Amino acid sequence: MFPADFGYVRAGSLAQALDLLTEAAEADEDAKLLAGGQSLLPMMKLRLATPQTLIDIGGLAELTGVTVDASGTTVIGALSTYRALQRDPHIAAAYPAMTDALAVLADQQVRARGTIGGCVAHGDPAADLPAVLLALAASVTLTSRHGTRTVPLDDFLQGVFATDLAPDEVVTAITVPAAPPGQAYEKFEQPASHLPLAGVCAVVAVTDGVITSAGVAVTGVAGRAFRALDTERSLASARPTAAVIEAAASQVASGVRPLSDQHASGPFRLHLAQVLARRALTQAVERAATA
Amino acid sequence: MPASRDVLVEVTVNGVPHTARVPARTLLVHFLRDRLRLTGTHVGCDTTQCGACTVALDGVAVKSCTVLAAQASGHEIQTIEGLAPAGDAAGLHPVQQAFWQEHGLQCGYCTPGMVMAVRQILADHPDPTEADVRHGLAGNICRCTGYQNIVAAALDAARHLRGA
Amino acid sequence: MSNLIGQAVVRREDPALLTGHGVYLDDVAPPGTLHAFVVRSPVAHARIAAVDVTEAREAPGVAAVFTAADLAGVGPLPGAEGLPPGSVSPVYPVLAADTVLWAGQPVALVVADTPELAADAAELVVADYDELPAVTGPLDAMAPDAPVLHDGAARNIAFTRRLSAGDATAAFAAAAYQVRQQMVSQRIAPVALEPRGVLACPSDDGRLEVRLSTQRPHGSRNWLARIFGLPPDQVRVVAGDMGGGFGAKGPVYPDQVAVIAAARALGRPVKWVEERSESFLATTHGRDQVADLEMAADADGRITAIRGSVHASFGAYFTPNAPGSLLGRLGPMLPQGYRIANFDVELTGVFANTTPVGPYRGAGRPEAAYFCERLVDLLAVETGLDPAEIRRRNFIPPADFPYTTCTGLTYDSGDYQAGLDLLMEKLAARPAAPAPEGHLVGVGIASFVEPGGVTPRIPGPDGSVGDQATVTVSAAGEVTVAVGTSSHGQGHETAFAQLAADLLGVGYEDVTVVFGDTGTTPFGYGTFGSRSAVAGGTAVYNACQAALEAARRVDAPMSLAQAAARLGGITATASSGAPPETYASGSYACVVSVDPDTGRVRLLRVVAVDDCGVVINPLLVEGQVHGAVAQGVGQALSEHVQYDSAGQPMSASLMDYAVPFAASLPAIESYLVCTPSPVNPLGVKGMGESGTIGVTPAVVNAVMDALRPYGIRHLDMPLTAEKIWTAIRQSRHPAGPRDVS
Repeated sequence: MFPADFGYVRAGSLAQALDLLTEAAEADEDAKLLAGGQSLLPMMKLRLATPQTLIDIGGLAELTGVTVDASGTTVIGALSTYRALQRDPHIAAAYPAMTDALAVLADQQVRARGTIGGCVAHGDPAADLPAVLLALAASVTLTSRHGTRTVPLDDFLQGVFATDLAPDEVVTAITVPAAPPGQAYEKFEQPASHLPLAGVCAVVAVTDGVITSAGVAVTGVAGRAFRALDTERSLASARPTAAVIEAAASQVASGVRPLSDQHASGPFRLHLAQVLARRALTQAVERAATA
Repeated sequence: MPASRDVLVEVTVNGVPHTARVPARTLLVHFLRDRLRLTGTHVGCDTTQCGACTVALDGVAVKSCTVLAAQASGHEIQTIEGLAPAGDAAGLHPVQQAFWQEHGLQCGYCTPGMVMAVRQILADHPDPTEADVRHGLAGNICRCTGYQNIVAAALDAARHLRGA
Repeated sequence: MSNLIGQAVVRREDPALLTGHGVYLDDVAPPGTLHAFVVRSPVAHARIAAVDVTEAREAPGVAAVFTAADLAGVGPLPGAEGLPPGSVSPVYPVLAADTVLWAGQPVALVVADTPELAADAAELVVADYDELPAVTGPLDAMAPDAPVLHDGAARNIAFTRRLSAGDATAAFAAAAYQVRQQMVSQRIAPVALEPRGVLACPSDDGRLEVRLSTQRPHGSRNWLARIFGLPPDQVRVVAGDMGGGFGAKGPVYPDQVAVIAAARALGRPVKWVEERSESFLATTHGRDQVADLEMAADADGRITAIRGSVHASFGAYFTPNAPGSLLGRLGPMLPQGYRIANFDVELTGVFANTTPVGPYRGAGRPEAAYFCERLVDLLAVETGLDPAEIRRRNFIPPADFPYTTCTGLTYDSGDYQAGLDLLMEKLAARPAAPAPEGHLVGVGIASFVEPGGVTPRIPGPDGSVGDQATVTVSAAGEVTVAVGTSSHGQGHETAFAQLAADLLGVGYEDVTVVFGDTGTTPFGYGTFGSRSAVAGGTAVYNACQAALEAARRVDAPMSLAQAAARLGGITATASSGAPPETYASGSYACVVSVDPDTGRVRLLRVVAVDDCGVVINPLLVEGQVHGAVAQGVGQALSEHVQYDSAGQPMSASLMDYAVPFAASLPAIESYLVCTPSPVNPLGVKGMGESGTIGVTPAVVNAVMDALRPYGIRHLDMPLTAEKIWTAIRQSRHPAGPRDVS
């Protein structure tokens, strides 16, 4: 219940946060960034994480906010809370799959503090949002004292709580391209934790009755959220019929080695992924049609 | 490295400013309970799930067990004690009044967090459906009431707050 | 003013609780309080090679660290009650000395200035364990090669008791129908929202005041007095406001005793409150039985016999009332509300390397109802009879009360037919919420009878058995009612005030009710087993009568308040006289939908009909039904304390142990019928646990009904999505599991 002792410093600016991170990295000190704390603090309370130093970036307003450029590309400040995103009219209009996921992610209190940047940096294989962000082909902007780089989220997520985040970097933004209206996120939750035992996001563009692009991503099933490339390929240039969807959904986890625990075995997770893929695709196609 | 194992926390709680130096690892819930003796906010779990610790931070419901007192410094907190400062039957907030009328509490341990959570649900959904309320309570556990009368209280309070 | 009995009075407890002014254990900290942290065994079965606390003792802020050697004179904990002769009843130590028998058993106690510093220092305690193989379930604990936990308990069997009546063998031989089923009532955790703990305040003169998470203040006081070798009147136990108990705050625990011992040794107050994840290891669990039972019936579907076995795990050690749940409740209540003449069931109690078992809401009665009602449903399928019809044919008719069962229990009153009729009427009156397309819909019913209001056969300080109540009327007419039961959320302050106001003819506002403090309330057995309305209520009734009698001794007729003014005050104490147990009953129905693609169960309707005799406050009764239903649904669908094969807990946090949330439950439709109890002056029956008893079998019967098209006969709880999906898959492909989807 009580974290181990640590040193605390509140960063007054991104620049200061970067300086602090760099100093810690150089001193080989175990420093962690504290944003909303809704993933880090629970781990610290169970002493599963015992950083020596916490650098609190939660107050950096410069890293909040949602901006859209002329092409419809959306840049989301890393410190935007889930709650703020739920209340953002542009997010609601442009990314219904995100709205789906935010509605079923954790609970209202956690959403008031947890941030999208924290989610991405944490790399939890059982988090909802990564499936949506992958299906939307999002990328992550990372800033250090040496500069800024942007990587596709698909390259950034590497495994169970493993990402490409360097010790001296801060996730500063998540960039999401403009997306078609045909989007949906379906989730099967673990009844105790509310985390997804499986979650599937489908993003489809349908023009003249033909699927012109498809992004389908799965979370909760494997060591990291992943793009279902076989499913996407089987949808390309196809008509979005029930049979096509069924066939595409059946491949959503092909070749994947699933997680397995007392809450859901590997085979059950693979099965859930297929069921949810079918449902997410069906819903996405419906939304594409009514748009 | 200017990181410090102690932090100076300056926080306004229920409209009253407080300043205290505490270990950096002090959770907001313990700051409120042990330092300020506001024991109405309760601890029921250690995995950020039960919601018994729910308070409002800058007007928004959060789980005070998963916020450091240090993070709250410079902000405003409202606890259950601040919802109806009179502390007697006459001065209850409509949500508290509704819980009372609808028998929405038994042992009372989850109740402060429930009340603060329901207040938030109604702030976000002034005319909620039963499903909105039940879904909104995803962050709160009650083991005594089966939630039924809590839901009834929330819907009743919503009507009252809408002036219906 | 009068006729408050039966009124839906809102609770007087609530304003304080609603505004954050409840006083729970962790809200209290006298100046100078130290804080304890319990070091627990990380392994399920081991010899303790060494416990090194030297580094911990030197840690910042540490006042002391205790091991078993330091507490050599303290304990042991009270033994089990009601064991059959020849049972093995192991000594339950305070801190483990030579062996640990469950993962979580207390091994050392760290006491420091703050809880954080105590937790930090605890990490410095180094204990070496020579691990041994572990057993975790009631059946594998009895395997021939299973490790033995206690000397003298071969195959870990603590006791065996056979309950027999009539001639079950003949009945089965002659039976037109019989069904047999192995069923599991799985181990579950009470999860009262307030964690358990203790605040021990010793004083220089040797007196001890303990603020304790307890449902039994006087019982705990007596146990603690015995453990510490003190006269009972030197020990005061205060329960205060308590955040739920559900049975788990009945026993006195080794961790609490260790903390009290530490406080006495240090001469300072010491407080300890468990952490939630810790509670899954440290606080008693419920259920954990495996039944293999058969039911025989004649050609008309009349049940003629029940036979078979029930094996119950008690975990590593007995807690005082755990065996009673099996022997006094589960076994004898198997016949439920049916006329059954022949019975032959063997009850076996077994030790295992798991957290000790204690009573948990229902304590033997949910299990009995579940086992019986599953068999009745299977019998319904076998006979082709409608599930309601087969129950009707077998109910004890109202004219037969008082009715003595073949297992020797005497049911006071009941009209099971009326309850079931009302249930079926309400079920038919309203359609369920529509099930999503493609989902399977099932309906299940369950009827039950359950004893409540027990008075333990333990004499109080005056030598008599019974809870006491004292009614004091001041010269100004203020009435105080002090009673030996101990509410922890049930609303007794309100209910007993209603009762006393009506009985005494005074205003509700003029009555104050007190309980839960051995320093200020008369002797009683506390609150558990749905006993308070019966036992506490009868004591209050008798004390009110005694007060009225005292008032009548004034030579002119006058009101109680006037008599009190004339006499300078009236005080009357009376005992409940240990009224017999009462038998509440009911019938519940569930409508469920099952998603065949995922196995997920959704509850569409829960309809509850309860008979709890005379109702003092229907708001409180309904609230008890709601809460108990939620817990019963939890057992049916999602709750399960699990261990791996090495005895490692796998569900020791709320992240893994799935209690129901608001979105898991529908609105519960609750109705009442009333057959007053003739065995107490109020006509009340205990009912606080009825919801767990009625709803669990109703949910399971409903799910099995939904799965009927697949020919699935039975599935054990919890009915998780994967379990159901797997059963559906395997039934479609009887040759064995095939490719997914």
